[in-house]
Amino acid sequence: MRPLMQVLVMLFCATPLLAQQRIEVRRAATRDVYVRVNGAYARVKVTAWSRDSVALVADLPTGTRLEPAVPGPKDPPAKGMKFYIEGPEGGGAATGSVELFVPAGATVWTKAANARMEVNGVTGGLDLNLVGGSIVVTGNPSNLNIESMDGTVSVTGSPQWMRVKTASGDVTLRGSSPDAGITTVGGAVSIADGTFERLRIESITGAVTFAAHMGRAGNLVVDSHSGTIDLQLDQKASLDLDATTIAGTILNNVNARRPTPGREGRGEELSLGLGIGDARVTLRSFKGNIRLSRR
Amino acid sequence: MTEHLAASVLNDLQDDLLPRDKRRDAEQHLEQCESCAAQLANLRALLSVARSLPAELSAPAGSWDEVRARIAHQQTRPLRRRWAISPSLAAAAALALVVASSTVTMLVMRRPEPMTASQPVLLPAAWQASEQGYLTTVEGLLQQLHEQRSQLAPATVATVEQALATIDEAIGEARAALARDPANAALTDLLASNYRQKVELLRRATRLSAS
Ligand SMILES: [Zn+2]
Repeated sequence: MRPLMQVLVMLFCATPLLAQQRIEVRRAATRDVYVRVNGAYARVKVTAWSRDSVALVADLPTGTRLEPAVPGPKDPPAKGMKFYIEGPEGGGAATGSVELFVPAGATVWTKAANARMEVNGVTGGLDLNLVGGSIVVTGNPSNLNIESMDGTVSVTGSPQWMRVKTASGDVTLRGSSPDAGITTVGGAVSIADGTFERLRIESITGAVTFAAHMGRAGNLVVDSHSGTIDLQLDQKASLDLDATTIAGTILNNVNARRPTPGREGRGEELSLGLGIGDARVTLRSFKGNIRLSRR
Repeated sequence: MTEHLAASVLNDLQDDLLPRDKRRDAEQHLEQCESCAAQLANLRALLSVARSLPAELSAPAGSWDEVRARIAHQQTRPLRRRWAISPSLAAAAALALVVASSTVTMLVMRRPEPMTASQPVLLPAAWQASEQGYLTTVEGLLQQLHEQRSQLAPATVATVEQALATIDEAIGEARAALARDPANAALTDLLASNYRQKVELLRRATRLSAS
């Protein structure tokens, strides 16, 4: 850590500092501290560590202001901290970079316009908000909420609860979750590797690929307007499946059952059971195609 | 007394990110709860920046669930499939003229015009109230977004408008199909999903433009 003086000046100055270099702030914090990082930056990297403190290291261009809201150095461990980064007046795209170290059980909230957000090892909560760029989460957060427009989202791990919403950003999930929801307008959604209990995916035009496992009594619902729904089942899949299209086709490569024409002769419908059928799968598409296969 | 306010709620309140209804709930709780009020005071004391309050609007919570519930209530014969809801809307037989919702594109930059019946489509009566509620919500969110548009980068505005156009096209197709086949349960779900997408997208855009 850099000398304490700089931190003290930053903290006790009523007017925010003009930062022209690396800024470092470190404070004792509770294990479930709530931390917010908001404003103009191009990169934020959040890493969980085993210490009971929060450290922020920021490399910010001239004219950028860091406005920290943190307790004094002699105060008891903080339950909450905030960092607001304001770009230079009339400045173009943000270029600053922020590295944040938090106790693993922390809850971290970030928001930026165009940035790369990367989070590793946090087991508390994550609330990540972005317009464009990318979000990469690795680990097993208890709560994971991601909102993005263009930005791509990649999650590797097992969030207990997760919600991801994008406009055109692709969403890739490698792992498991007992309770997950993914919503996208045009992004491609790809799910693989783990086991899911409750999973709901909604897309308008984005293609959806599910190549993971549904747990016992699991429930998967996929709704898409025109995106292709591609369900790749494992050999042990045990589920009851209903697929419906209003105008698209259904291709079944899992067993011999053939889809039947839909209501009023448009679209197709298919119901099938595999194994003892303890999980439920519902696939609905307006005019996209649905494809079922074994992997 | 209800549960204590979560850290995220206290922070959202402090950062002016709470929708109006949630803010009202939080403020009511704070009036009665010294512990939460003290936490918020701490938060305020920590803050070095005060920011202006953007107006926030909220969607009618659960309105689609209500529609589904109403349709399910009208069901008179056994379900053919376990998941399917089989609305005997023919029995209700009431079809109502509902305004179309495709007047959205480009409204982020321009001042939103009142929703007009530019594309009348007949939808089941059970949908009418909820669709109207949805239209009101969308209009409110568009208005808010319009007011905040100076805080959105042009590229973001373009992204939002393109996504809205995509959703509107899907809504138009699903509505037309549902008008032809009002008892189609899958269509009901798909249309509701499209609507949720639209409200969600607009909410996201307003949250992103609120500093
Ligand atoms: Zn309380």
